[in-house]
Amino acid sequence: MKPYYFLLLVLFTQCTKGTDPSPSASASGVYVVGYTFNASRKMVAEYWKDGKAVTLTNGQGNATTTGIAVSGSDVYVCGSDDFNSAFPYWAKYWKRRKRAIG
Amino acid sequence: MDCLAIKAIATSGTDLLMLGLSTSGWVYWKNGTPVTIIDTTSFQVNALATSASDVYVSGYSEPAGLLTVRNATCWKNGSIVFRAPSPSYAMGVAVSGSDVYLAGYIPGNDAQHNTAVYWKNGVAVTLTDGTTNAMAYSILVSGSDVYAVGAENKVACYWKNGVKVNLGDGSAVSEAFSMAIKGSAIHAAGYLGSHPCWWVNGTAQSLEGGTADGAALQVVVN
Repeated sequence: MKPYYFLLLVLFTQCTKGTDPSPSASASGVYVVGYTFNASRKMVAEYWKDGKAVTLTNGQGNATTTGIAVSGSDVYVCGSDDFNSAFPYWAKYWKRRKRAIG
Repeated sequence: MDCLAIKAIATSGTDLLMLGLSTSGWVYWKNGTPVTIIDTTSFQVNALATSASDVYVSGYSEPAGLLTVRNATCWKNGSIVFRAPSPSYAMGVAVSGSDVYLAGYIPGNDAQHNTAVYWKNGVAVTLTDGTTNAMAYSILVSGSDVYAVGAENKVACYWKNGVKVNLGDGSAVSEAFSMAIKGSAIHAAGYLGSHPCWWVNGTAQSLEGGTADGAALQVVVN
């Protein structure tokens, strides 16, 4: 196992800002989750709602996603990020884009 | 019990389910309460699916030191339901009524000759003939149709009731890891060339920023 720590990202679409394509609208749509490399060749976790990107990590560490679930207006993403990994084997839980447990 | 990794997530009604690794081994969490996945040997898990209050997990045995012994395995509520003959790997899992399906592959004599397969209630249905390199990464059941999605010779494809439909055109390497169906739209997620890709009915769609290198790993429709 690589010395990454893992995150659960819990995103509420009505609360996400900035790049969220529909912060107050219905969560209906097609959600694709994955990662892309940024200009610094770091892996950035993200999802796309109907093709519009929502970035989940800051691009300073290597991150990826492992899954997504949508229920009602809630979007849940799990994944990992090795940014600032003082506790490399500890899971983290993000709620409203903030780490909530770990 | 601390969480070390989360490999998959799903909702079922008002329940939130996560599959991952804890300091006590592989578990799934139902609304935060861990349920240990029990086996007699080392193993890996890959995906989960739910049916009513039951939780199904796919994976494979991985005993130390025996690289040729891998058994695709299905667990229900933490206990083994069935285990396929070795060697075999299970990636995805789906449940439809009383039937449980695993998707995966049977390795050949070298890394370039994997056979894509799914198991229905433990009975293998091969999707390719072993002369190519094919893998099925996930599976879903829609009505009476069984869809497995993956790639053959690095061309993304799915198999509908065993009949292959290509997603990539072969001009660049591609694989599909996940699919979802809503109405007449068949969605798939994977990569094409070095880029993340979302296909709808076989046509690659635009992803914002998707010209960067990367991959799409799962698609869901809400």
